[in-house]
Amino acid sequence: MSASNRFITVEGVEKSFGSTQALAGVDLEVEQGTVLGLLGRNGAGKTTLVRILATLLAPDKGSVGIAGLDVVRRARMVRSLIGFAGQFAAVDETLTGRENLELVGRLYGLSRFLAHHRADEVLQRLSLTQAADRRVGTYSGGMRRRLDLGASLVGRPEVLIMDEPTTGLDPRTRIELWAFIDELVREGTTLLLTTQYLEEADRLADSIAVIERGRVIAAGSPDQLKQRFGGDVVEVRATNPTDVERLVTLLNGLGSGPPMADLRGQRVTLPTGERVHTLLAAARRIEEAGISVDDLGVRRPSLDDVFLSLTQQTTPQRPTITPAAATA
Amino acid sequence: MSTAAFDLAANRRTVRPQGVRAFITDTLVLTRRNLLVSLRTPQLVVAAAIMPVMFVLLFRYVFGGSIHVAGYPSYVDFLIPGIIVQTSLFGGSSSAVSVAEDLSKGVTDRFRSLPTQRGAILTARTLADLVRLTYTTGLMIAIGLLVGFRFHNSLPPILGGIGIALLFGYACSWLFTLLGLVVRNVEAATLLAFVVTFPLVFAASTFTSTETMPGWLRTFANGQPVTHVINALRALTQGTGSAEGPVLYALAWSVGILVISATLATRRFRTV
Repeated sequence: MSASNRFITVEGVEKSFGSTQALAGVDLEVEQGTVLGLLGRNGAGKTTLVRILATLLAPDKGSVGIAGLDVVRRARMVRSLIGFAGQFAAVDETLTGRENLELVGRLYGLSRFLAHHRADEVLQRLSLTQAADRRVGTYSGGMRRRLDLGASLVGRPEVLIMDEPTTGLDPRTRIELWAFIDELVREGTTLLLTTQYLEEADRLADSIAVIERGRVIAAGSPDQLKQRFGGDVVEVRATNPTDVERLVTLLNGLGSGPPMADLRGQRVTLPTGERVHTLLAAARRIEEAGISVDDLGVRRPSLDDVFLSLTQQTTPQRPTITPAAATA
Repeated sequence: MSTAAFDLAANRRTVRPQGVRAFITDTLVLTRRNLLVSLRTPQLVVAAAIMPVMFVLLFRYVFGGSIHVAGYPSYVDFLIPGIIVQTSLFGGSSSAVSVAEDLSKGVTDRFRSLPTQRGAILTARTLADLVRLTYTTGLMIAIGLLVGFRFHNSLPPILGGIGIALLFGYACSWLFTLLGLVVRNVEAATLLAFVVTFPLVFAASTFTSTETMPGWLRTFANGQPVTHVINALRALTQGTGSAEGPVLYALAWSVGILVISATLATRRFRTV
């Protein structure tokens, strides 16, 4: 990555709220015209970082730059470059869709005429023209989310910052929103979005930063992250959920890392560098132990596997099953 | 420009000029938004009017007959100035709720992420309250005139009295804005606003003279701002007693509340 391409830079950012450290030294870079997905669980620090980028919070330590401008010292300039869509659809229910957009346009400093024009443009783009003069209170959840995204586009931002843009959306609306985000990126918008969904990060992001307990614990392209996981995954699905813990104990030591349990899916996954050997060894052990399984196979790792293995390493006290806990 | 053009590359904007003009524009745009939101929430508009009207009817016709205040042959002349100030306090408490609502809905975050003058966001909040306050004050005077209230002074002091009541209401809307910024939660803001306004309105000269109250309560009632503001409004609209003392106290309290609340609210707003 050449220096001139670093459009968003985050260096050593720390932020605490009272005694709670939300960010414990975050470094990130985003190239112009690319999408960075910030991936993490609830409470990992995603929203805090996004709020700092959107000039809503000042970091305790470290610096954040957008287009070479410091977000604290040049906050006003930064604000006219960014569009921010927070976690909630921040639109007024008692105003119409058009009124909401015109309001934002006026606050970007546009004339009444231009604000009206931009509102039209955005409404058309987001297929909200029909509903433009209806109060937002009558909109569906998906329409509100679209309008909220539209509000962040009124100022034609070069950088779009979105905090969990598709949380709570139905699958169809989510796919529509993804397609729309693709379109914006094609036009040159630089995008930073947070998500809890690996599928979303995989689908949208050019690079992913996994954030956990206020730190970036892994970063790279989706493929790089998957490769980092190393090789393939042997996956076993137990017939009986009570056997999941036994399977974890049974398979320990066969793969290139510890087996991981997914209690809800009744699955146990095992990373491996030698797919056939591990699969056969696992099959033998399962048969000898007489555990009934519905499925047994080898597949390429998904981002879920990467995420689970990464977050498990950093939080050993997490209440998922580790081999030690299972034998105890 | 064509509607098809959404060319980001062609959009290297210059930064929005900042200054007094931008501040005024932002304030007006946001004040209009705040007023539209309240106007289109009919229960707010109606609630703002119904409560004080009930109080007028209750105290004029139910309790009024047995309340006698020295110097006021007609109780309604004593009552209406009290109701006007009560209404401005109860009305102002809805500021706390609106501020908390905008914060919790993410609307405040959106406004703060725009190249808006941040001071304009709070100024617009309180200006919208002032417009609403002027409306309810006018309404209370009209209702008062219908049930027998009369002014007994010349126009300049009457207008001065109303001006003081509005100034006090405006100062209180900054106080409630501050409360809303601190508690951030709609339910908590509603409760807190009630807890703050209730003793100020009722442990005061709002409905009756403080003379009949027990000593400790009278001390509180005579010292607190609502009593001073109501006494000033009464003196100026009814020509009863000397207006100078209550007017000075009322102005000092109002300006004090305004300056302190506005300063703290603005500071608080930077880090919400």
